[in-house]
Amino acid sequence: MMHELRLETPRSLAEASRILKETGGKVIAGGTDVIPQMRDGRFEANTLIDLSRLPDLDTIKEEGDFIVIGALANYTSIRQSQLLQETVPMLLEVAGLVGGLQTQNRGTIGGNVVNASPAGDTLPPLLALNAEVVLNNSDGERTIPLSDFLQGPGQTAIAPHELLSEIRFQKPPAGTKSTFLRLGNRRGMVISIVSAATMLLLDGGNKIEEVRIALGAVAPIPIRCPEAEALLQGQVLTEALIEQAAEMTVKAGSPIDDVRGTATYRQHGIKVLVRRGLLKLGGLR
Amino acid sequence: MTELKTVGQSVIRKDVWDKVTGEATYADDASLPTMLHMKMVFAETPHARIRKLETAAAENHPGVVAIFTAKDLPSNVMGMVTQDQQVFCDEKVRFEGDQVCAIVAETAAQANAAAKLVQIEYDDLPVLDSPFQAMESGAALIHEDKPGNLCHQVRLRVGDADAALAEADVVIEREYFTPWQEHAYLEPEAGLAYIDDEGRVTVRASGQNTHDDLRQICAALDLPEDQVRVVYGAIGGAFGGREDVSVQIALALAAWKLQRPVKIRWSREESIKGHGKRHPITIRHKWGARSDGTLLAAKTEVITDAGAYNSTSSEVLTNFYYAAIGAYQIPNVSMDGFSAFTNNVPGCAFRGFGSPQATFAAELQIEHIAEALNLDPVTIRLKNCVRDGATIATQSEIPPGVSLPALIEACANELGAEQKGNGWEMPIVESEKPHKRRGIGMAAGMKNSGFGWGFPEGSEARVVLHGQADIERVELFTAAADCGQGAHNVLAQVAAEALNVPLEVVETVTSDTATIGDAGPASASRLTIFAGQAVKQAADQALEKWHNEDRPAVGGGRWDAPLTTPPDPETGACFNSITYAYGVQAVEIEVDMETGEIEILNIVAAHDPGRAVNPQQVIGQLQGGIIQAQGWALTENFLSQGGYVQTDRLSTYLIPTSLDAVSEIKFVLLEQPDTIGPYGVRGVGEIGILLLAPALVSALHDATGVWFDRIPLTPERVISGLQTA
Amino acid sequence: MNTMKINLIVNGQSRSVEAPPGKTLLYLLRDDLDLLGTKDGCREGECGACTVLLDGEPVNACLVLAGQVDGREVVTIEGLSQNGHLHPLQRHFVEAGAVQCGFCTPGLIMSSAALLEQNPQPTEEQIRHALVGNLCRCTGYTKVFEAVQHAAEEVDRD
Repeated sequence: MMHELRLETPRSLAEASRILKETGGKVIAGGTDVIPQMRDGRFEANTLIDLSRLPDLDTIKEEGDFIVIGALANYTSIRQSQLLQETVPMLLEVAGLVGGLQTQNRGTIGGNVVNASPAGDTLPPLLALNAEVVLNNSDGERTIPLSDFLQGPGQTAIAPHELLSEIRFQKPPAGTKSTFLRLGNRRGMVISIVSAATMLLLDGGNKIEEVRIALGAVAPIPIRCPEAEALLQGQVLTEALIEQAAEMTVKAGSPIDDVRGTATYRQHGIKVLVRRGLLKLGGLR
Repeated sequence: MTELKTVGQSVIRKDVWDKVTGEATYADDASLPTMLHMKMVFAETPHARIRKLETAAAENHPGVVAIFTAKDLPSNVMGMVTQDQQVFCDEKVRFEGDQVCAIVAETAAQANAAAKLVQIEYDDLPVLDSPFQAMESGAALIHEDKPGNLCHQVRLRVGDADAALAEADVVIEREYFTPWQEHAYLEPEAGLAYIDDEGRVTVRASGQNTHDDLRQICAALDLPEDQVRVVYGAIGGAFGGREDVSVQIALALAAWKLQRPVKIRWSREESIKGHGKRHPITIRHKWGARSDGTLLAAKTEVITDAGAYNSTSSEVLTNFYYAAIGAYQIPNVSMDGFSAFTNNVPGCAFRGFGSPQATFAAELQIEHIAEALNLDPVTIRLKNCVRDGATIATQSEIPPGVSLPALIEACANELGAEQKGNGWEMPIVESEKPHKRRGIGMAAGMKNSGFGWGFPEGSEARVVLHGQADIERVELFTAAADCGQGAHNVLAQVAAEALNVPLEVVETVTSDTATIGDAGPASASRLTIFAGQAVKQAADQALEKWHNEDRPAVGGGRWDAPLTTPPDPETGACFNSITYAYGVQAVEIEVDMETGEIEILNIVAAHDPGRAVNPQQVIGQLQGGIIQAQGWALTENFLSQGGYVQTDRLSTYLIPTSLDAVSEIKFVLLEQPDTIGPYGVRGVGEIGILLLAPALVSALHDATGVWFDRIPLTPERVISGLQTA
Repeated sequence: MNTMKINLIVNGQSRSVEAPPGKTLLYLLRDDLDLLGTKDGCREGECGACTVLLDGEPVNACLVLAGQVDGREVVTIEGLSQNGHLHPLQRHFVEAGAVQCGFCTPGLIMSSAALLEQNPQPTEEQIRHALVGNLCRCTGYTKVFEAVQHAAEEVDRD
C-alpha cells in the first residue's frame, strides 16, 4: 500500500545499488513520470529510491572522444550546455520542447531513457548518436547500445537490480549538423505525434560523409532508418535525393492510431520531417 | 447623455488582490476542524442496469464513517430543467460519470481506499454513443419514458422554404459538424458542507448560481429553504460547466446526516468525466439566394447529442429558433431540430449556449453563397444581416439598436478592406515561404442575453447606505456569481455610479443565500444587464430613502425584466429575447501545406458592449472568449468511444498554451447604448467565442481553396482535407 | 502510517514536518503547512497551477515528493511579497487585468518571478516560452504578457 511507502535517499551510486538490491524498490529521480504513474497505481513498490541527491550524475562532459551525460542531467541543464550546443544542437532543441519549464527543471534524460516511451523525445536523437547506456549494479557496470536497451513501450534491457548511470556517445566529427523536428497537436507542451532526429556531415563538395536518421512515435520503440541512411551515404545531397530518402523512411515505421493521430498521418509526417531535416541541415531551404 | 464617473472606467478589480497573494479562498481551500472527507463512486460504465451494489467491504474499511446511496435521499432526483437524473443511481446508469454512492471517511486516503472496495454488479445494456444511432427505430431506450430517445424537438416554419428554394438562383446544401468542448476551468469541482451557527446545512462550493444549487439541494433533501444555505467563495472559472450541480447535493446530504463538516475534491479526470460538455451538433443546411446575394430561404435540420441527461439540452436546442440562420434576415425558413439522449457525457451549458455551433454553420453557408455568386464576404453580410426593424426567424421584430451593420463595416475597415464600386475589396495576403499559404476569413454573429423564450427573468439586490451627512459606506448585497469574469466589481461600479459615490466606499456582500435573494445565474451574458438593473434599482431606492433621512437607508428587491414569450410549437413564432450582443471578427492565418499546422497571424474583433462598464474587463472577456474559440477550432479534440471518454486529462485534452494563443487581436469597440441594461450595457460574456471558428475555416479556404465542414482543424484533419480535395 | 521528518525552508522560514515521504510537495504545502495559494489543477504537471520555486527554480509541486525537499528551499506565492510589499508582478497582474478566475494566477506569477530573476528584460516571445507550463483558461494570456512586461519595466527602473 502507498501509505507504507518508504523513501530511501542514497548518497552514492554504490549505496543506491545496494538499496536497490535489498529492497527491489522503484527508482525515482525528477519524478515527472514516476509520480503520475504512482498516482495511477501503475506500479507497486514499498520503497522509492530517490536518486536526485547522487553526486556527479548530473554532469555533461567530454571524456576523450566521448560525450557523457549523467543520467540525472535535467532538460534545463541540457538546454544550457555549451558543450552540447557546439556538438549536438538537436539535444538542446529537444530539451526545450519537453513539457514546460517546470518539467524541464525536474525531468532527467535518464528518466526519459528508462521510461522508454515510443514518443520519448530524447530517444531519436540519442539513437541517431549511436548512444550507449551505462548500467550499474552492486557488482559493477556494463555498457550496452541504446538500440539494444530499448525493447518495447516501457520495456528495456535493464536488469532488476540495475541503475542507469550515464548515457554516452561518440562526439560527432566537426562540421556535423543535427536537428530535431516534431509534429504535435499544439505548439506548447505536447507529446509528439511523430518526431525525427537527423544528423548530417557533408564534405566540401556537398557529398554526404555521414548521415543518420531516427524517428519517434512511429513504432513500439524509436527507430533508425538504415535503408535511407545507406541510400544517402556517399552521395551528393540534392533535393531529389532527399525526396527519395524521405519516401524510404516511411517504410521504416509501423505506426498505430491513437488519441494523438492516425497511422496515416504519422506516415505522412515521417516523410515531411525527414525531408525538412535534411533540407535544413543541407542548407537547401 | 449625463456624464458618468465610475461606469466606463477601467477601475481595478477589488477581488483580485487576494488572488495574486494566494489568499483567495477557492472551494478546496476551506477546511474545518473535525472535517470528514468524501469520495464519489462513479458508474465507470456507460449503460447498465445495477444488479447489486455491495458496500459492506467499504463500510468495514478503517476510518469509514458512512456510505450514502440512493436510499438516503428523500427525493433522489436532480436536473436544471427537467429532473431526469438520479443523484445516486440505484436502478440504472446512463453514462460513465453517473454517481452511484459516496464514501465518507476520516481521511481522504481512507475514503479513496474504501471506494475501491465498493462492488457494483451490472447487467450491461447496449451503448448508444451517437444521436443518430439513438434515434434509429428499435434502439434501446436510455430513459424508458422517452420514446425514440428524443430529449427535445423544435420546429420552426416561416413562409414557404421549399417554394422559395425552387425559385432561388443559387442553392447551397451542406452538412456541418461541431464537436464536444470541455470547459477545462482550472479549478476542479470541490466543496465543503457544514452546519452553520443557525443550524443550517451549508454548502460552500463553486457554481454559477447559489440559488439554483439551493433549490436542488432542498428538493433532494426535502428541506425548506431556510434550513439550507449555499455560499460561494472564489470560483476557478465556470463557462457554463458549473450550472449543473456536481458535488453539492451529496455534500449537503452527508453534512446533514452526520452533523459534521464534509469535504470533497474531484481529480481532473473525475471533473472531465463527471461534468457536461458543449454539445456536439450536426447541422444540415439548404439555403437559397437570388443572384444579387439576397437570401431567400433556409431549410435546416439540427441534431444535437444530449448525452445521458437533459441538463440544459432542451434550452440549447431552443436557442436554434433564432440562431440557426445566424445573424441574417431570411424570409422563408423551415427548421427541425432534434436532441437525442445517448450514453455520452451530458451536453450542457457552455459559453454561447448553442450559438457557437449555430454560427459556425450559418457563417459558412453565407461564405459558400458568396463564393457561388462571386460576392465578397463584406457585401453579402451587409446585404443580409439583421438591422433595426428587421424581423427574425421567430417572426418578431428585433429589439432596436442593432449595431451589426456598423460592426461589419468597422471590422472590414480595420482589416484593410476597401469599399470599391458595389463591393468590398479584401486584402490579398501571401506567404513568403514556398510550403505555406496565407488567407483571411470573416464571421459575424449575434447572441441573445438573458434566458428569453418566455422564461421569467429578473434579479434581486439590496443596497444599504451608512453615514450621517454623507454616504460613508455602502453595502451591496448580490448573489451574482463571480466565476472570474469580474461581476462583483462591475456591479459595485454600477452602484457607485447610481449613488454618485466613490467606488472605494462600496462593499460587496456576495453569493450567500442567507443574505440575499436570487440574482439568477452567471450565464447567458446576463449578469451585468439583469443583476446590474437590480443593483441600480436598489441603489436608486436607497438613495431616495437616504434623501428622506432614513439611516441606514435600505433599497432593494427584485427587478423584473420585460417579458418574452415561448415559441409556438408549430411555427416557433415568439418574442424570444429583449436584447442581443453583436460582433464581427476577421482572422488572418498561415497554413503549412505539408504538415497541416495553422498559425493565426492576427485577429480583428469588432464588438458592441453597449456601454463598457469596465473597458479593461470587457476586453478581457473578449480575449478569453476568442482564445477558447481558438482551442475549440484548432487543438481541443475531445474524444469519446463507446461512451468512454478518451481525453480525460489536460495532457490529452489540449487547451491553448501561452505559445499557442494568438499574439495580436485588434479590438474595435463601438458603444451603441442598449435600452435594457443599466447605462446602456449589453452582454459581452459570450459573443467573443462565436466567431473565430467559422472565420478560421473561411481563412483556410482563402489560403488553400479547400472547404472544411467540421472542427477542430487539427493538422491531421487539414492534411487529410487537402489531400482528398 | 510510515512518515519521515522533513526539514525545509519555506518562504524564508525553517519548517519541520512529519509526513509520509510519498506525499507530494503540493499536499505538504496545502495540508501540513497551510499554504493554500499553491493550487491543485491536474496532479500530472500539465497545468502549472501548483508552480513553486524549489531552490529558485520553478517546479510543479505536484511532481515533487515531500521526501525530496528535505533540506531544500521552497518559495510559494505567499512568500513572494517582501515586508508587506507586494512583488511588482503581483501588482501588475492586478493592474493589467491579467487575473480573472485567478486559479492559475499564483502559478503564473511564480513562473514569471523565476523568469525575471534570470532575465530582467524578457521579450514577449521569451515570456511565452517561460509560461508555457502554466495553463490559463480565462484570459487568453495577452494581459498576462502585458503584466509581466510592465513588472519587468518597473524592476528595471528600480
